[in-house]
Amino acid sequence: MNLYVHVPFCRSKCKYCDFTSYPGREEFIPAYLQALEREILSLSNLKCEINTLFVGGGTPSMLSAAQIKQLLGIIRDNFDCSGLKEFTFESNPESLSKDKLEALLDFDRKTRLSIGVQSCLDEHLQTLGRIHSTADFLEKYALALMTGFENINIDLIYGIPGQTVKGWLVELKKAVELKPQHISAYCLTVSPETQFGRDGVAVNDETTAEMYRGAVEMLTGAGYSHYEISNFALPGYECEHNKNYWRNGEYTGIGCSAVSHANAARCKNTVSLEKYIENAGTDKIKEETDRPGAESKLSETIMLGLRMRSGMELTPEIHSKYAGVIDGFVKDGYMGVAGGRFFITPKGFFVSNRILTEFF
Amino acid sequence: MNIRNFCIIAHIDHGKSTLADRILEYTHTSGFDQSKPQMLDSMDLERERGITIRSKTVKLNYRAKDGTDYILNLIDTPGHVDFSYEVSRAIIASEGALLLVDASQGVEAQTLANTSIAKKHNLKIIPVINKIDLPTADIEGTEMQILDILELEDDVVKVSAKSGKGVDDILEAIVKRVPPPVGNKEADLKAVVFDSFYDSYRGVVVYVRVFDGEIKPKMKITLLSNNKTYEVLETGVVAIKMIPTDVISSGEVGFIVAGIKNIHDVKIGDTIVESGKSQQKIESDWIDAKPFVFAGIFPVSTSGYEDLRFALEKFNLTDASLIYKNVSSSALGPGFHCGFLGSLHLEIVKERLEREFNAEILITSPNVNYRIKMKNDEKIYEMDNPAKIPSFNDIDYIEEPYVNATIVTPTQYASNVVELCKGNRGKVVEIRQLEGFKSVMIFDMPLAEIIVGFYDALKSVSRGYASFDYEQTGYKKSNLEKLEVLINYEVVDAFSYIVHESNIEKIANRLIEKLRKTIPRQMFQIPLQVKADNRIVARDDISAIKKDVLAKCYGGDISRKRKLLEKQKEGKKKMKQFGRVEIPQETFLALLKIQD
Repeated sequence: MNLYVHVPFCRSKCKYCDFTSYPGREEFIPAYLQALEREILSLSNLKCEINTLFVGGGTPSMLSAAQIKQLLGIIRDNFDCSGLKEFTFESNPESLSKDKLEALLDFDRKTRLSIGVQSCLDEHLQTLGRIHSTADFLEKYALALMTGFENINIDLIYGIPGQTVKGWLVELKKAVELKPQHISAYCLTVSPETQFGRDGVAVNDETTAEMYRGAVEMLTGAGYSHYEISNFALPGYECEHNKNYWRNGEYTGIGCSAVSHANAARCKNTVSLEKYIENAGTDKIKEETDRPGAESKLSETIMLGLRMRSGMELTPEIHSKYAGVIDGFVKDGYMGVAGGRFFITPKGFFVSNRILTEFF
Repeated sequence: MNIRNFCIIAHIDHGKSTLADRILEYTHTSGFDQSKPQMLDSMDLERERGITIRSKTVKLNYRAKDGTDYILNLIDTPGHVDFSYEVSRAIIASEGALLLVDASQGVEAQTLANTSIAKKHNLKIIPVINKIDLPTADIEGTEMQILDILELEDDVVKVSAKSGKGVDDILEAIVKRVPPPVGNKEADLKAVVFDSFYDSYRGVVVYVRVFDGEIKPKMKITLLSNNKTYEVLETGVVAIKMIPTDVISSGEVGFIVAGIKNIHDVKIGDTIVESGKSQQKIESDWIDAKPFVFAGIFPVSTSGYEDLRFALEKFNLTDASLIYKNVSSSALGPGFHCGFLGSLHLEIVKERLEREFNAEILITSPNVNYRIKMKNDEKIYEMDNPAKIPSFNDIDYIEEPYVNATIVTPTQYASNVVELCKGNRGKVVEIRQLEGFKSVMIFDMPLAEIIVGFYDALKSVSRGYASFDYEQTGYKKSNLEKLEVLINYEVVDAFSYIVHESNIEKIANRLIEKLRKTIPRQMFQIPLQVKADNRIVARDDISAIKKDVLAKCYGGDISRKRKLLEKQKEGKKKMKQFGRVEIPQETFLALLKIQD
């Protein structure tokens, strides 16, 4: 199974962030770790084999080395980790340290470290409300390499207010020169409930479209495969955990606000930290259930599958329903069909919502 | 029996419905509900908009000051220019009319129009000044205006319909001044239809005024306009509620039910006689509600066609003045080409179709009827759908309908009004000054210029004070051109316009602007063009969408993002697919108001 663990703590809230994270609540971490254990013990798939593990946040690297060990110990004690293929741990530069990095490698020598870099220019980091500097990042990146990490992802954002196309490509080049195994490049999305949303920050479609084109060109030129709309990997380093999402696979999510997908339903845990800590281990933490009908399910599978460059299998069912739609997009160069699969082309990715809508 | 049949005629908002309420209250008409103001406005839409759309009738009992008992039949009339033909309905059933004028507004355009209809039918007119207790009331000035322009010498009754002051004077004036109906009860039946409505249980209910003879259940009657014969099932009077009676006699007003299934068989102004008896027609001709304004109504999705047809059929039972026929548009598919009494009528039809029939519809820009003489043909063709007008190369000449527009305005806005009318190809025919710094102006104008947006523009140049009425005068040759809109190089027939050559550029640029503002960007660039006389007179592009993407989609996002795309799909379904281009309803709404 594929396990996701949510760590909803942060030093401070970034201005664009719409994830469930609570800044300044470190004192709840011990209780939260206990709550996670209670939830795990209540799972029906206790003790089963874990294929991929993803610890995300928030900022999981805010946990102390001891707390990281405690969390990983809980997982090791309750699941079968002998066949673990991929373990990703999300981090921010300011809270990474040698002992934490060692704790991660102790759990799995091949741990995939994901670093929330977001920008390689201090000015933009400030705009985003990040609390690290470019120097911090470079220092921690070197530390990770020295500690023995061989699979590192860095997250970057483009479309930041004040960022130019040229400037973005200079930043990206800096990142590429570090040769991380994986780069996620996300277009800034402004949600209304974020600080950026309240400030009325706007993202320019033309500029970001150009930034996207430039990034795809540079990264593929540097040997990265553009395997998903916003994700790029050196050969052999695609994120298996995330690919399971895009194949519309099942997964188990634990922690505050985490979502699980099993038996054709998605269940979401409460986003309230207090409620989660109080009720973990009972059904009271389950707040939303989404059970799409068969037709919605197919649309959802296509919505996810077409995020990947490899697309998805052109089954007889899909062909009979959508052959006309697919043909139209192929003619315009937004989609391709090859080897029994259909997919969105890089040209189509940045307008993919328009394409996907036709499959609903 | 002492009977008086009268109607109330007034400009919109001069307090007609309130006065009717007060009269009902004063005469203790049972069923009157004080909690529901404006009793006679029974449609929700009428109460909301404060206008009367349909005329109605009510029977009142009144004991005069000298102790004599009277039966008063009040026939209500609508106050809006679009429904002025309904005023004629009420007038054919009455001997007298209360001409109601608001003391703070004075004589307005519909006051003039309705007075002239009432005079033409030799009704006894009782001028009434309403709202006399308003601080802004100018009773003397209003009285002078009534004498001057309406040339009414009668004593003016002064009332406040709101407080009820003076209502007794009105009732006294009615019994004293309005002549009693004349007719011979012993003669053969002769009655006139002045209104009708469709009742799903009883069929068509017909309002009649009996002139000679009497009408009673089981009688065989004939409608002279079509010679159709029916057996009367029920007769009665309306006193808020419908009350069955044994007979409606000479001079009386009432309703009959005769198993009539098709409302179109019942023409307003038609004569009803007893089958096999004298077949003499009364003097009034039946009044066909004549459409002035035409527009296409189409279902938003082609699958809604049958539902729309059904809704129109049902609707037509309650509003016979709507005329519709099948039409097929290359852009919009099958739909209906409809004729309306005016632009308010169009709006009301649209609103009622949406509200009462849940119909999802698109309406094309309204236009008028044209007369077209082809080069190779002696015949004159009538055309009320611009999309169907042939190439102008083959047209010898084209004529458009003209109206006499009467505008009453405070004199300080008179020059604004003149300017506005000239801008809409109007020519001044007459200007008169009235007491109280008011001007009455008559313009000769093309109907096409006043059907869209003119009324709003008039209100805006006169700070809301000018009033307006019009009557069709005939057709005149005009230098007209057909504008065609091309989207993605294909003509969208539903967006065709006939415009005067002096307006080509203005309208063409507006068309482009409205299209550009309302059509969302799509995955390809959309060229927009407007063509007149085989040349492109305006053009622009809607550039292709550059970005519409979910940058991130992981385990916790999937449900929300699927629902987002499902919603987008729902939105798309509401758009009209034209070739590869999707056109939203806003575009149609924006183009309805192309003159603004």
